[in-house]
Amino acid sequence: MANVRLSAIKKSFGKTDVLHGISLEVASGEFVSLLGASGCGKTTLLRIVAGLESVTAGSVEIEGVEVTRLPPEKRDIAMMFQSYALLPHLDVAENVRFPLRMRGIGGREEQAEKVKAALETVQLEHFADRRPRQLSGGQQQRVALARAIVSRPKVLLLDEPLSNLDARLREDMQVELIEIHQRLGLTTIFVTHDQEEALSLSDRVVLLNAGKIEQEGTPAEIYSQPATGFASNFIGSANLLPADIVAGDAGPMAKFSDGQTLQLGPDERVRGPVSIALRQEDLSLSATGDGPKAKVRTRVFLGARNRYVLSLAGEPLRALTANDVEFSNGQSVTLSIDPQRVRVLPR
Amino acid sequence: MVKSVPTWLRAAAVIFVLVTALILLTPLFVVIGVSVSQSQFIAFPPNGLSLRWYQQVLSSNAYLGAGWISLQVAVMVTVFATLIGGAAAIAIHRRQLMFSDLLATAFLSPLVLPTIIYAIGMLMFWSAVFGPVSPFTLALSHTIIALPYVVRTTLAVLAESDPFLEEAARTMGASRVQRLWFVVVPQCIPGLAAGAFFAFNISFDEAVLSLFLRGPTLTTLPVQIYGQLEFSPDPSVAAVSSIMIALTIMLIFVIDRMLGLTRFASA
Amino acid sequence: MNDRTESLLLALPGLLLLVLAFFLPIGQMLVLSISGPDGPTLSHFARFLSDPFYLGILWRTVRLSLLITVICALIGFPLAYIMARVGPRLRLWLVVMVILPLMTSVVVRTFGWMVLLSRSGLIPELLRDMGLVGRSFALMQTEAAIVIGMVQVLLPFMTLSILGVITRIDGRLEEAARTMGCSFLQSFRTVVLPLSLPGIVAGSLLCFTLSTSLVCDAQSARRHANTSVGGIDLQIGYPNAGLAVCCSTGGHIIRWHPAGTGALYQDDGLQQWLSQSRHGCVRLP
Repeated sequence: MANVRLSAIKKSFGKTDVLHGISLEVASGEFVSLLGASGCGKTTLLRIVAGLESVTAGSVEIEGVEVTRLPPEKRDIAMMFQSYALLPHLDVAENVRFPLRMRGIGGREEQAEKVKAALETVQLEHFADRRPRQLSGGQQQRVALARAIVSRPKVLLLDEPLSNLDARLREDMQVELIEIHQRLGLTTIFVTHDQEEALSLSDRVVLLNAGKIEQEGTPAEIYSQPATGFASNFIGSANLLPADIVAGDAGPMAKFSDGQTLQLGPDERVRGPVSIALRQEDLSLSATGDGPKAKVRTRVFLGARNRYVLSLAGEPLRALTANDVEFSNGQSVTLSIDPQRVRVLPR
Repeated sequence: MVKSVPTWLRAAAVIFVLVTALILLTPLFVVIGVSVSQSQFIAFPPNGLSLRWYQQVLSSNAYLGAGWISLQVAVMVTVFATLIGGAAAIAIHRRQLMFSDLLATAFLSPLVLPTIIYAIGMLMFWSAVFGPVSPFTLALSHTIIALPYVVRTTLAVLAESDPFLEEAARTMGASRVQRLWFVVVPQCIPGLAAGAFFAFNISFDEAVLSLFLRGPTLTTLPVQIYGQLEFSPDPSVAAVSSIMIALTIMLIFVIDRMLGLTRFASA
Repeated sequence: MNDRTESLLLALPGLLLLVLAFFLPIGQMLVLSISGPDGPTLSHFARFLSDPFYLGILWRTVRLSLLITVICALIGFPLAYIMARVGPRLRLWLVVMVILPLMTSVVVRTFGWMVLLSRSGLIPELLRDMGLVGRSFALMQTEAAIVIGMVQVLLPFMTLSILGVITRIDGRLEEAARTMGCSFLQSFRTVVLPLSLPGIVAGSLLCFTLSTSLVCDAQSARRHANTSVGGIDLQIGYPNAGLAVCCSTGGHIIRWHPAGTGALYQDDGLQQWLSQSRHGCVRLP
């Protein structure tokens, strides 16, 4: 059953159209990520679900009840803000109790129980009487999470909650979010611009671009079968090269503007002018052999790996290799790639 | 932060600060000096050392009565200005009214009008419309000139608060009144407190409006001092002035504790 | 109820009070300044502007205000820079030093200056003893006294305006200038001064506006006061001119007093009434 149903949501700020008719269903207990670059409308969409933003057209349903005109305080939701929005004058326990108090859920004792349980969930039970100011960023983040789950809302909305944490803490927090989601089974909508975060956390990823849904699917689908140039560039930051499809001895081939060709899989149906999407991590480089040749422009040492910036048919091309593969600048190298890993996208 | 400032410049800076302090504070030191004099006459440097003028002030019905009236008016002003100015500051901060900027200007405008002109206008208008002036009239006019301070200090703390708090409270089910009371007002408290102390200080020290709006039974402390200076100056004026200076210094430090004085400058 | 109604309700008590106890009285005075026995007239202003005595006052007001503003800027800028660069404790004391005179009652300040500057005061006596001046020399009620008194009161507005801007200048800019070969004074002149200009401009606007109000008052008070105290109590200025406003109002300052002054001087009856009121014996018609 759909827990949240968005139908043809449109939103304009003055003359600027931010969302162009978005329809989306989120199943009960599902973890859905809204992924996109800044300005794509993902936060606006989340705020529309929360009721903090009105819609220009379209409707919002939560558990089958239309809530389009309902103010946020009357929707049974919880939202975690990027800045955490902890009340600085209240201690941790009071912050977590706040939604219970405002919604009048339970008596004092029951509330205290729930606050305690929520704080235990995020492992902050010993910080109950601290002020938010006395906590680290990661701890504040956990308080915000505890406050969001304490009232068991129908929908949990997360607005880039991990973006203010450093890399290490972010990884810990991702694991924790997955575990809490599994344990509580809350319907969750998660907004992020970080594709790795979206892929690792969600049941389903919704890729937004310029106020439209570019593609939606499971993380595996999104990663392995990007439907558009934007999707393949945004997810896994693939190289996009213009090419034409020509017939070769062993099936279709991509022909680049300098006349070099690249073998494609035999079932490739797309014809005409296309973009060839090549993932950096799928490319391998060698000094000799058959295949398109590219020129080494720069090598960037990344520790575990090397990134080469190459030039193929005048286009820049990035490739990730093991850190012991070494070429010198200006050297000509041969590219090879499993034809099944090449995505051909109509241009 | 900046190292390697030439020594002569450091020395010059110290001298500069000392000279500035001397010019700014000498009149106040002089007042305190005169107040501990034994002499019958106002003289500086003081002759001898005594607290007799303080004794005299504390046993003078004129001073005590005026002080009591000043205190009553100042308390009224503090309450009015804090409540009214705080609410107005919240409204201005939210910027939902089309005329927010105009509103802000309106609330700050009493600062730039010469008080003497306001005092005359107030006296003419008020006595024409509402009859003789009362402590309440005086308190209202003091509230007008104290409002800009409360509005400013409250706006200063609101500007630093997290703009998402109210939205967060909405997602947690807080109604309009609950948001105001449990989220916005607690944010404002340092600014309201600082504004309240400013308001008290302004009302307690104000002389021009008090001079114009005084009545036979409505003499505030500054007016009393003024009269004393005009007709029979003696060191008791200095003693009561010193008490007022001490009160001001105390208030300055309380405001600093509440809000941090330098925050006004950077807000 | 929507958000706008809530904001309006919050602002309403203040608006009512402002209208009732501020804008109406001032408005009445403005109306008075353009009304004559035969309906609206500009004759009060014409008279005001053609009277050499008042024109003299006007000119002196502008001249003294400019002088006061310049002095405030000359003291305020280095002072603000020093405040920005010292530790927080010392900074607090410097702020206290600057705003204490402003927050002290006008009558107390005036009293202090009287002891220092009047004919039998400390400074004239000293100068007389040194044989520098004659027997009747006094500083009270001179232009010098006005300027000193005003600077004492208006300095915080200038200093805090500039301090607000200086504390927001990235300290690394100065360090960068030093690494590029600037001496301290060069970096001060080429980095700090240009970046502080907005503060200096805002502070100057504020100082000038406030000091024209205050000097204007001082002059009018002097005209009607018959005692030695009367002149200077207003000369030294009031505490009402706000500390807080120095940060923000620079941009939108309202100028009232040309009109207000017009009303003030519109007839001799009012002048009479004014000087009576200073002695507390006024009875309104």
